[in-house]
Amino acid sequence: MPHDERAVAGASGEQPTPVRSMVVVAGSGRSGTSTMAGVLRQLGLYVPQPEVVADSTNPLGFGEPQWVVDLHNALLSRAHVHASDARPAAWHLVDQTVSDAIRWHLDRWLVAQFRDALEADVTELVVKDPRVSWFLPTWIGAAHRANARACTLTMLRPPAEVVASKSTYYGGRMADSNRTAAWINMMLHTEYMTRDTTRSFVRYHDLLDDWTTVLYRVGQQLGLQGIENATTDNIRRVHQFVDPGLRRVTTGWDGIEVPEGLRELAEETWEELGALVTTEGETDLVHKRLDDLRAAYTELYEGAELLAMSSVIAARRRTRQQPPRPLEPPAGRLDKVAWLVPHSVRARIPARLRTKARASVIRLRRGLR
Amino acid sequence: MTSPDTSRVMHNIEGHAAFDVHWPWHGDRPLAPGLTTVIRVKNEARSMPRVLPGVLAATERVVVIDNQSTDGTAGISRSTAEQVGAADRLEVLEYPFDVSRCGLEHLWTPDRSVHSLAYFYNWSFAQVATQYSMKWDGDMVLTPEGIAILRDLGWQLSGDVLVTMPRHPLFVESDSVAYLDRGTANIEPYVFPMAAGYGHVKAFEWELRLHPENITRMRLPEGLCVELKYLDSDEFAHWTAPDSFAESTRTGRKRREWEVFHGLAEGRWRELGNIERIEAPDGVHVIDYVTEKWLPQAHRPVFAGAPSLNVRVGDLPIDVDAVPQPRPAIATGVEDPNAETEGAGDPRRSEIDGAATPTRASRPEEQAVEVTDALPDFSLRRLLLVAGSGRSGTSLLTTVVRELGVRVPQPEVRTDESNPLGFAESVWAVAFNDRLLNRELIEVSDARPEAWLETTRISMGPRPRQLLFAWLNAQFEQHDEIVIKDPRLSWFLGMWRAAGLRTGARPSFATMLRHPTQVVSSKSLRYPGPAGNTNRTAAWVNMMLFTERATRGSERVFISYDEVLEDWTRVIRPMGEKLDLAAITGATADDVRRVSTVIQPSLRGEHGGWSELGVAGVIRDLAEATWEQLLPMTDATQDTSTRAAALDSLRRDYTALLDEAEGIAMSTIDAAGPAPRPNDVFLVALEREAAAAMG
Repeated sequence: MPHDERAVAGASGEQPTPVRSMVVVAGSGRSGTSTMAGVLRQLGLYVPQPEVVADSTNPLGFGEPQWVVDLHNALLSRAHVHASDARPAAWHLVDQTVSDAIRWHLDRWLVAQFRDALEADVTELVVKDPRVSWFLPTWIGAAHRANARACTLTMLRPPAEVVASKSTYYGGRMADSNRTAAWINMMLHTEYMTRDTTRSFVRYHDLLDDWTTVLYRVGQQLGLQGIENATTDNIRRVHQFVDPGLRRVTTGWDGIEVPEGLRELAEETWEELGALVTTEGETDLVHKRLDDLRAAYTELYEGAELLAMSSVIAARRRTRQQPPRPLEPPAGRLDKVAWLVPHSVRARIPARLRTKARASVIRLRRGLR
Repeated sequence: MTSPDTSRVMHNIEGHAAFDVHWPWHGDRPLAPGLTTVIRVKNEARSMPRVLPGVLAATERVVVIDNQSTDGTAGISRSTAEQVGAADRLEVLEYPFDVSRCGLEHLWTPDRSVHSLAYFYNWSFAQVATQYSMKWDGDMVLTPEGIAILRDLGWQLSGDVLVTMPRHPLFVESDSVAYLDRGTANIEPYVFPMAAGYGHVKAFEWELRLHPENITRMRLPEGLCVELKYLDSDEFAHWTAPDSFAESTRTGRKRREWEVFHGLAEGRWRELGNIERIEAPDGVHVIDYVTEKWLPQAHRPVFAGAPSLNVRVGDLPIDVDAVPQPRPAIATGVEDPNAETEGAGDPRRSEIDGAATPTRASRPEEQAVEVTDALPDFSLRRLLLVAGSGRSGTSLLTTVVRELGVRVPQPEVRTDESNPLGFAESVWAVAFNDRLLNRELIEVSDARPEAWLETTRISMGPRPRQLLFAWLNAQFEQHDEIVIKDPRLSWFLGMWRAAGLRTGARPSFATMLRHPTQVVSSKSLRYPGPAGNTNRTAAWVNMMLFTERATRGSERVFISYDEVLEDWTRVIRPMGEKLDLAAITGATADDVRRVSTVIQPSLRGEHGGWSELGVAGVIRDLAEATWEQLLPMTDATQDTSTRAAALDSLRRDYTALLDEAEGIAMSTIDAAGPAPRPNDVFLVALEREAAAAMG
């Protein structure tokens, strides 16, 4: 949406080339990153298009550019790293997948997005994806090359709530342990990788309680024009967007089965990150404590890895025994017809009709035999 | 129908509050680990002295529910338990209501009535306080192999597992003559977890126990249990009328039973087909003879309609040169125990409760085994199984025992520089165990507690069991005392013990104890690989704690490696006496001199403390605690129930620790699994475009 004042200023040509900013919204999934991206959008920042479409888990939309999500997914998958991977070693694996070719595309994409933003008279854009933490150095580098400021905004939510909120991925107590470990891994490394950027940390609960004080601070910390120059219309829209129904009671660790050492580490991480919510909190002492926590986590994870080595070896042996999966389902003559239809076209056919069509093809084939 | 056990209590429609069903899983205390047998009986006084000793030996608790017996079943049950020294593990309860007979009477009885078979079952199983329960009948008698298998399951079972078992009808004519029906494959689930969703409900003719759809099934082999039918009694009294089961396919087994029962009563057993007439030697009751000797030795498959196992009895050729050392893998020429005969391994076959397939298919002539003559005396046979972690002096012990005259089945694995004494391992035994381990992808030193149930499950296959039995039997035809040693042996102790029991041998166990730091440093030196010292330590704890549990209650000794080196005579002699090994108790001075030349102090190998090994705190503490509990057991008087409880607690701690580690490290375990197919079309297109643009 256009900003009247700046549109006038830009048209008059009195200001120097506007400062371009890229705001990366980072943090663990289920921590309010979508809410934050939505708030920034309402305040006038640009969300690159097209976006991942909203669904029932996030009815207000994710604020996630489709291309970014596709790229992140493809690279993570190539690195064989899960979006919430607890391995401290996973960071290096992901780094290795980012080639010059990928950087070339990122640069081009970012320049194009800034161009689109400028058409809407905006110079600040939001990059948000729960997987973005894995690619922070890449994005920060791309921003520099695009002659833009790289800012990061990390959402914080108590680990017990994040773990409880994530849908069951593995069964039993192992699931909670792994999710807690993954949270620590993501948060500590995100903090470390954003230390040299202009950054801001926001507690999810603070955002829900009173977003105005939070966003005012964020605007100052990150130097965002969109926030500083927000109109009353923008502010009203944010009020309408932030859903008070999202305010939930803090659950704590009850009902979550996690080894004591891991839980303590998660709690300490939460405490230390909380210190960074104010700019005054960015002290050498806090950074040192966070470095120590990262070292402690690495030690704890690697200790668990050593103990669980038999399971790792067993998984490796099972993998080796599995025959490679065929790339395409074995197709009969009539199935091949379906493969001739471009996927984009087939995807537009509603699933219900697709199933019916497939059933009639099968019936037809049986009849032919 | 949904399980009736979702609320805490199920009331009966008659209002007998004392007989409400209080589901134990809704109780205040968590259920204890283990297996409880539930036997509902009515006038089974004649059978109980043969039925109870087996289940009392096989399971931790037995609950007998007496339903209005008039023949003193309850009293006989108590006195039988006293005779076998298990009175404290037997509970006898009275259920004072008439219970509807199977068939139409059952069909018309409401399931919440105390007279309903389903209600009766629910009330009976509500008396169980362990995590698993076993349904048993007052006419089912276990073989020694059956006892051994169920004993192992009692501590191995975890999670949603259903255990099914074939049983063989045995028609008893007199104290010395009985008929075994090979024409009925009667496989039913017996062992169930005690949890909501496993309640009993009404079916048409009888009751039915519920279970989740996708539960893991473990099928036990044949030959573990016979079901007694006395030809001089009315075996169909609990049925409304024989007509009730005349038509339905569900009642096929009953029809065969009816047919055999009446055919035998009329002396027409030869015409029935697939009936074995068994005559016991003088002075032995035919039921004892069948369960202790005849059935263990009988041809497999017992069920005449099952496909042949194609196991060649006799010498199984093996190629020593094909066995790589020191970790023998696959020797050519050994029959592959994994190769299942088609159809035999299919668990669905005749697994439907009670849906038996009576068959008249007669066995081919060459398969027929005539065992109606009394079997020879096996009382001198001894099977010594040397267990424990590798690099603990198991070779040393076995060498000493071999030099004194206990036979190591030949040929042996050749020696190499890592073990100057030789391994004293039978190539056949090593290759056999190795193939089974490989089948489930379990490492020799696997640290996963769940691997024990996995090895038990694979060892239930009828073919490996029969192969092992046939081989062992051939060995015992040449020697009375045999020793088996293999670092993989601990994983299959149950199967080896059961095979030994079938040959009539007395199995016993010798577990070597060597301090974990020495074992781990020796292993890291000899077998470098992906496993670190932490994993090696964990594997040691896993192996030792579970080996102790697997040998508990059996004839066993624990032997300190250091003591053998110090003065082997002081250690070996009492071991020979305890395990009744004639070769040791009768050793001559010459034998002793020869052995003394073998054992030299230079055998004391690697040393090093925990700090040098770099093993983390928690697992190191657990290893030390395990060592402190195990070492005193070299003195047999220290093999006490207090110590057993301490070891059980360590085993629980270890399992919890590994669970925690697995949970945290799940990302690493996942990453070792199959890679997701990356969206390479997307990436490759990007890369091509960039390459073209960048030149």
